[in-house]
Amino acid sequence: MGAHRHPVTRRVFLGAASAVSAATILPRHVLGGPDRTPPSETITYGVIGNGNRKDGGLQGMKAFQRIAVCDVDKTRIGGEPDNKRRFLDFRRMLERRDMDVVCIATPPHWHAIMCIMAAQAGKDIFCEKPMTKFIAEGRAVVEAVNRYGVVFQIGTFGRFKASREVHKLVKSGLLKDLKGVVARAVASMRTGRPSLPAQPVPDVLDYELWLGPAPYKPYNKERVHYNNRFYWDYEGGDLTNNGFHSFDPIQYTYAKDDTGPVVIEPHAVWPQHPDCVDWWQCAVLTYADGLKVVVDSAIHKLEIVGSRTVSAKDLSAEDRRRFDALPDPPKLVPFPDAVRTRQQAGGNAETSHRASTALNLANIAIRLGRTIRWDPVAEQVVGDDEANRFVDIPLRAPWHL
Amino acid sequence: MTEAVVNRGYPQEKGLNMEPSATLLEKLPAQDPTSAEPTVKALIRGGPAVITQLIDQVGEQFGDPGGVRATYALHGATNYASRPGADAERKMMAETLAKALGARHSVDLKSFLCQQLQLCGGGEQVSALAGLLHDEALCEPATQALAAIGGEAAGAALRAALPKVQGKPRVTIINALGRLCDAAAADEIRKSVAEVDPDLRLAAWFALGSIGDAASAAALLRAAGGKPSFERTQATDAALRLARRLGERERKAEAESILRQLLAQRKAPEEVHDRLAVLECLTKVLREKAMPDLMAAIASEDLKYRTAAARIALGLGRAIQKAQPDEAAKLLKKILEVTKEEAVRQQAEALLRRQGK
Repeated sequence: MGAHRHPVTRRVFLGAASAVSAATILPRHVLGGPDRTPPSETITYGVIGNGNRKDGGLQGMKAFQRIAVCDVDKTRIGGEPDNKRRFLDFRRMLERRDMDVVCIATPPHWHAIMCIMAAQAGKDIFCEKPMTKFIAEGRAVVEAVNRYGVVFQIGTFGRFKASREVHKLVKSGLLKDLKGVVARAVASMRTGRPSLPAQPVPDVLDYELWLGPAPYKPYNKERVHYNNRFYWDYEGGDLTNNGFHSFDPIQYTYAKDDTGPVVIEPHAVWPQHPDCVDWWQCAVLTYADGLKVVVDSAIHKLEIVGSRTVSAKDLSAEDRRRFDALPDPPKLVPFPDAVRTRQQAGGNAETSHRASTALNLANIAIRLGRTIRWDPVAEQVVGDDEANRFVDIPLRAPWHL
Repeated sequence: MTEAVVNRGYPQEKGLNMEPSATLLEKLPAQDPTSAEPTVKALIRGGPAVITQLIDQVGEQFGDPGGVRATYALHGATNYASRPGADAERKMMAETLAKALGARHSVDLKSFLCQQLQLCGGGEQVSALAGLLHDEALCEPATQALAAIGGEAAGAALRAALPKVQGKPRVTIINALGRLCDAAAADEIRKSVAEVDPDLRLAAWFALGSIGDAASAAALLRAAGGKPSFERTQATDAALRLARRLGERERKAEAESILRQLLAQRKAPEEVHDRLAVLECLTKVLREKAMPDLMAAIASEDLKYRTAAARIALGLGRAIQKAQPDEAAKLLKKILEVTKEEAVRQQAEALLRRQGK
């Protein structure tokens, strides 16, 4: 069918001027007090969503100890639910007062609500990417994290290895602009299936709670447990899934952590199916200073030709002196250090929201089949009412932002 | 309704084939929007008759394999008609979709139509959607469409339905009225603040907080004063929302009173996050008058409290720098005295440099 044809051109020229578990419960309050190093280095956490990803983002970090697990699928919590260590409802898990951190590894349509409720419960947050399913959710998470003074880290770490020199250079404001700089964020591409009949809900699954804030759709096993990411109600396909890994370091490198693209141009099959993620080739995101980021599905070998690089050598002698006199950018703080010292983590809520927003905008443009313009301060699409309805989507009760 | 659209000048072309033929639908989806445009344009030019036939072809069951092409086409037409500057087309689409809500279609199909109206509907579709609010299965999608449409007409429709519904539909409608900050709904919503059903009770708290209903302050503070639990966090959030809304309306004394009462409730070491939330809200409401609270907070012995408070103070320093440079400088210097966070220090130093201090 049409949706499975390879679309668009194989080559995009973007020249310089082109437009293109078994838990030992460690009560937190006995571990340390104001300004004292805790006698134990252990940071306790619970994981919500114990499926494919589980707590993979925290495994290997010695500081962390898992003390609870929660999933709406009874087969995924390692035994019978007891509302002590094994939970079916994350709201009960958040009531554990000895838990420092919540690891959120559910489908993304739940991320915002769980992040907000974790912040309200005073828990630090490790949230798998993409941060949120739509843009207003991300802003609400940022506000909750700031309001309750908790630490947030997104589950991707590429930015920790990104160029700090280019970041400093762009952040300094000494460059005239970034016209002609084109970066490529590689995602991948898989699609959903448009004709999935209703199936009986398995006894082990609380489907109502699995759906949560998403619109009601009849159960089909293809819609849940990993494949959920190929349905618009729950995620934005591989563009927001794998795309986040490669987009986020670019955003840091070019110092775009507090802003967003201003023009978003889609290259994709259209119309997109209203329910399931469809074929797409790329989206071109242009920032106010001329930087272009091509988010690429990699279904073709997309080539970017003629992109320029930036370095401090581009500066005049006087600007170079100014640049050298500026402090280096603060080192990005790893999550365990951030939890202990209460600093903002390297992949904090604001930066993650901005990355998530850029990718969600790409999906909005793809779904609408038209170029959209974004105001990164007001966080609104300019002059397109329908596009703005994708920015802030009403949630199914009783859930809200 | 359809005739009215045509009479207003919708460009329905005479002599056009009025059926969305299989050949036409086979062209969708296309490899890109430009390739799809002639087909979608042709469907829209067919007007209500063609769109209605498309609706019939989507299928009554969700995911009907026979309706895939029509689903693509109908959704594409919805998107295309909603583009900027095409209001006559958008109205035709929305009115045709709304008219089909009154036809003999299944819950699945009507839900789908509501979801399309969530994208393209306007004030003219409110009454058709309001007619579904008493239907337990359709209340949810109809409410979401109304919430997306927003405005006084949508709020009035939800308000009118609220006293007549119970259970899940009541939760759904209260939730939407909260989202819309519909002040006129407060009296009816207040009846649910002490409901046995926790979903209903919590929805009422959220809505009344969002609306900024000062008459609910005592009830919200009472709920926020309960034993530590998920419910208490939700009551606290609702009380904070209420204080913010009152602050936005310059009812600062009432807002401050709520916040001081919340602060008095939360003294335990593990409640530092709640104290921070109150501090953040106090700073938003009182601005420079919150300086004594902020100064005390950033000098606190509690690492979590003072570090987060320093970030709140930094925001205030930035906000008042122009109008009250001396006060801002005092605050920024205090931040530099107490915080070790490099990012915050750099920002405070940069702000002071800008002031020449």
